[in-house]
Amino acid sequence: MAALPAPTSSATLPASPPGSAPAGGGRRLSPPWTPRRVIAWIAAAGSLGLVVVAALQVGVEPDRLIDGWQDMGNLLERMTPIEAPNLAQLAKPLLDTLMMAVAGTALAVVASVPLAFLAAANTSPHPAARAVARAVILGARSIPDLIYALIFVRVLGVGILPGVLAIAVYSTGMVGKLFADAIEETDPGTSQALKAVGARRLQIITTGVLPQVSPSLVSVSLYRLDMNVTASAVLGFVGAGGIGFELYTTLRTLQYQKGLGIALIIIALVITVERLSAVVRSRLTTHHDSPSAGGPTSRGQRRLSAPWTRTRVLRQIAIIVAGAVIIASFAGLEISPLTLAAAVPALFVGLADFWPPDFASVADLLPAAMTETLSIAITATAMATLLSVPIAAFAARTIAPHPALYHAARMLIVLCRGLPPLLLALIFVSAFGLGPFAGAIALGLATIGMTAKLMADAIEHLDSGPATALRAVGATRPQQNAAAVIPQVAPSFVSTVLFTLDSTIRSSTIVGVVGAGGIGFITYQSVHTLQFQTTTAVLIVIFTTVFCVERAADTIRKRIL
Amino acid sequence: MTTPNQPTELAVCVEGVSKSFGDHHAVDDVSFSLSTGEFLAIIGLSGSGKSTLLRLLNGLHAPSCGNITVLGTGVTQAKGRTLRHLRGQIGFIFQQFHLVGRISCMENVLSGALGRLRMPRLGIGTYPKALRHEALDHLDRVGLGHKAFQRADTLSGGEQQRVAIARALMQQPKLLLADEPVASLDPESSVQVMTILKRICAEENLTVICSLHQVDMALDWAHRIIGLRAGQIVLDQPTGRLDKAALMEVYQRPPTETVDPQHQPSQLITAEAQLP
Repeated sequence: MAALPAPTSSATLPASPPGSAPAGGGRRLSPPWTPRRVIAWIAAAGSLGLVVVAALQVGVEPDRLIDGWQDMGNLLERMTPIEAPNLAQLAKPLLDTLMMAVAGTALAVVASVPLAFLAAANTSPHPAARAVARAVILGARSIPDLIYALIFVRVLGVGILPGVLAIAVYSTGMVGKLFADAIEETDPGTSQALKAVGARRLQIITTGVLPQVSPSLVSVSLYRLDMNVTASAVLGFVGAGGIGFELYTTLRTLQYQKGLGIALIIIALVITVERLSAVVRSRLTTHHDSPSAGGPTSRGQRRLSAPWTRTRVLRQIAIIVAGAVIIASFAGLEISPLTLAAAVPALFVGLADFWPPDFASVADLLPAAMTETLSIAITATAMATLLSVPIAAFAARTIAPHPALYHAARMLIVLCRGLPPLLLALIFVSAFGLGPFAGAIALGLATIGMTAKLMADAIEHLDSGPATALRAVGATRPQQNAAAVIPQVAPSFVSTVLFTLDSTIRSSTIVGVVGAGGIGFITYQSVHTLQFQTTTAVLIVIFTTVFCVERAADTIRKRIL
Repeated sequence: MTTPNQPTELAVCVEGVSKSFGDHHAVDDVSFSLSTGEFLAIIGLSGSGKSTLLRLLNGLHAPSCGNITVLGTGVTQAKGRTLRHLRGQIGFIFQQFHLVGRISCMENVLSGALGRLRMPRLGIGTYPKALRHEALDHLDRVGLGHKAFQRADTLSGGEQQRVAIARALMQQPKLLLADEPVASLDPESSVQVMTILKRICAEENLTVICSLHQVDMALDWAHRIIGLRAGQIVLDQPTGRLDKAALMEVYQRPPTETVDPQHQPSQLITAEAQLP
């Protein structure tokens, strides 16, 4: 919990004398220690202890932080002046990066829709089908996309195709889960009404469920697309195509000035796509059709199809444009259905080498590596939380002290969201040297964009009633925020922190690929030395950890909300 | 009646006040005044400007034009600390209670004292002991002392509104504004809440302005009734000498509204049904 303001103040107290307790004297003036309250305090103390242990393990110490600043300064010195990158040379890999993200996302959406309907409790035809679909979705998202890319590159060879497939597989897990959740949240009344009419299961899905979930399907897909641009920008680190390869070789050969130039271009690309996706998503949820649309035509004949309102025309155009972009991406990457059809069996043949898992060869390394991974994730989460709370307070329109601060904070959030974690890790490794310290700082910064945004949105969505009531009481702005905003927003903040942990755990398993500590280094080594059975063993450990953390976070989230 | 010559006697004095939101005139040239200890009910259709008028009185809205004096302070001119001090003396009861659901009733009641305190507060433990005794006393007065440490959102609507009343009492108010205090409650809780409100106002000699949409309740509880239609006062009479025709006028649709021939003219029926 945040530090509470001191209770003592020179405020004017009412004239009631100190001993004015009602008859009986011993009335409770403080809340009783209910089990719930005890648990909450223990949980808070436990989390704090965990953060301290993790931070110490990662090497966060005062002198290290001071040295770190100097190291950062040195690196910045070596990086400036920024060398303007050769755009003509970078255009192709940049475009590839973008097209990989589009193609991978498109494949994922196509795969997720049927999976999600099988996995959702209210549309699944059979419990067994549901269990299988859920397992596939869960398995797909429990291993980070970069590790998929690492493995696919080994099996299919260096190139774009493994990158696209890596994005597709991981996103199927991410998108599939959100789709299934959206389907489960639909109004059961609609389905019941259609069942009463005598509709079949598939008819109920197409007429009753699909129209309800389609806005969230589109919104989830677009959101995934912009996440995938960030991801695809660094897949080149492991040879899976795109701009990441240029950046990696540049930084590895110590051409820092050129490297920063490329990094800035990547960030600009990611931010552009993110903005675009945000605009489209916000358009989706607003309708501007006039209510009079849909009346009889001027000639007195009755319309038999929906009129071409502005919204409908725009929607059709958007669908056509999206389709064109997707087709152009596959064509530009020279991936045809045939290539895909050939790649899948090749993948399965190649993956045969990965079985059975060999734990023995890494048994002595795994516990320490996994502990380090967890420490990186926890430290990064704590750092992101600490930095995000003040940013979120400024970035929430409802409580921002000044519009200028609001815009500045929102800008900072957009900027942070454009930072691929692995890219930051690579840069911080250059500054602080190899090890988990660089990884933790990189992840902490890279996550701020998401964490602060979720927090700010949570504040904006609060019921403004209690704050208004306190305004009517004569409370100052800080008093209103403390008494009305903080208690209301607390559960969603905790939920956001858990979500951040969930996300940093995933990233913390890959930062080792660039030497920033954790289990990623073992994964990378085992793939490179062709010890594929060891890789499988490591992946099982990663999978289990990610799964357990996600489960635990979900459980806690459900209990507090 | 509106003579602002003796401001000490008047709790509220409103002179030629209008408030528009864009093109919509929510309150249109309203003037009235209220002496200390009076219980005034404001009636009218929804959208007639009742809520806006109440929010103008404690400065939650700023008027487009006109002058408002409450408890001897000019609301229109008041800013910062002066305005907060004035608000501290005015209790405000909302239709939707506006409690913080996740914290205890006690802490909600304590938050009514924020106007007298300087620092931000979070948690019961951050309020001085004397105030905590006071909060418990107020909870007792609304009959909820035994639920002091229960989360506010576990209470029924009527109980939540009683907690909100206790929060207003915590302000030690001189004027109480209530915006449709029972509109979201079932009939039984409504009577309970109104009874408590009336009893406390009598005990404290509070001046009350309460907007209501139930005419019978207004007649039962208030000394005087003001009827608003389309933001204008169309009725201002003591409850004892109220004539039915004037009351009917309050519930007539404003003449500017276009009548759709396809709709049945049913708007009078509701008002008729509510008459005692």
